Amino acid sequence: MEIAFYILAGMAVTSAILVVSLKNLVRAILALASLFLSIAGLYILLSAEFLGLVQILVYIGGVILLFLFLIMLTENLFEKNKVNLFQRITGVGLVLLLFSIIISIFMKQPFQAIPKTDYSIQELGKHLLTDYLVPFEVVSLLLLVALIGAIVIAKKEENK
Amino acid sequence: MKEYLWVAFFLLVGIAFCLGGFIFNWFIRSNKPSESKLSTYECGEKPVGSAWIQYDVKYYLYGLLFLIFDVEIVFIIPWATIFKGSATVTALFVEMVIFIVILLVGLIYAGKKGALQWR
Amino acid sequence: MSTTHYLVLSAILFCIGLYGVISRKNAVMVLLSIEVMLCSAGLNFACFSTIHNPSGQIFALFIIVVGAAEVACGLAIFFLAARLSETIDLDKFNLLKG
Repeated sequence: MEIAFYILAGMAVTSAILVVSLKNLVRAILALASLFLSIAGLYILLSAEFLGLVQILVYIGGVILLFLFLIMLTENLFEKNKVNLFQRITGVGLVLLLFSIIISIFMKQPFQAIPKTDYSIQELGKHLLTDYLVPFEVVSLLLLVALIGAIVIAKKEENK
Repeated sequence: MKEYLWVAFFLLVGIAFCLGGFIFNWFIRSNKPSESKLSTYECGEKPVGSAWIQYDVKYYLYGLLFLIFDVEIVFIIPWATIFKGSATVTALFVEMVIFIVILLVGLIYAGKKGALQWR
Repeated sequence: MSTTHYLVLSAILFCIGLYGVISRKNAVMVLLSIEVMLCSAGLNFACFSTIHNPSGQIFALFIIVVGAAEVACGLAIFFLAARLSETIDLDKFNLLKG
């Protein structure tokens, strides 16, 4: 258990750092896929198996595919100018500040052992279709809006 | 949780298999590059243009449709697991019909716009 | 294992994603960094759901959906911008500037 967590956490942090620091867009996207895979493993460690499978199905199967298709569509996407040093230093400073604030909050909380919970997919479904019924229907509306919006934007280019 | 050890095992074996092939190949191959060997392989012909040609936007539209309906499936699976033997079958059915009809509007729109046709 | 392990991990991932958003100029890179941040938020929800109730997992599910919808629309916009203005450098997106 412990060792699996540390392996997956190390993989997640390494690939996240690669995502934000790699110059090549294609490599950054593949690092993102590795991050998604390790997050799915962490979900399974938390006995949220359905979430882990959804992560693999939607993110690795769908989102990464869409990113790679975008790379195929146009070559103007690659970074041409260098990252500004000032921006980089500001980023590191702000992020360290935020991180220290978050950690100082965590240190005030007592350590809480993760109990042995195992929510079945039926339990999730019951919650989803009773307590979260309105968000559930709104999700379909959100997907509809995303679908129509993306088609309108992408089709505009094709018609020209 | 123990069953997932097998998943990890298969993952490791898969990675080791691919990586082992590469590394073994690295050791036993001969390496004499020349200009024509290093050029892009195009079925033996001389390569024409850059490898970064611009593909048509319709590939993106297919990927998009796949992603949206992939997400839809994610919500149908928990619904399907509780459907059998539930006390409120009618309500569940109506809820899912509303969900699917809203997304069907999107599918019809995509069809009208010609995003489903392969040209 | 305690929840603090997972919370610290998700804080680290969130901070890395935020660094990416601040320091990168390429719009697609910024979107990738936002995906990292969304992932860390989902991990946080899943961690808390083990000590409370399944609601956290459902929220993580919604986060995944919103992330997918965001990518679908965002990439279409970046695609159009890349074709129109030859670059997706965020500093050069100043068509709407008055």
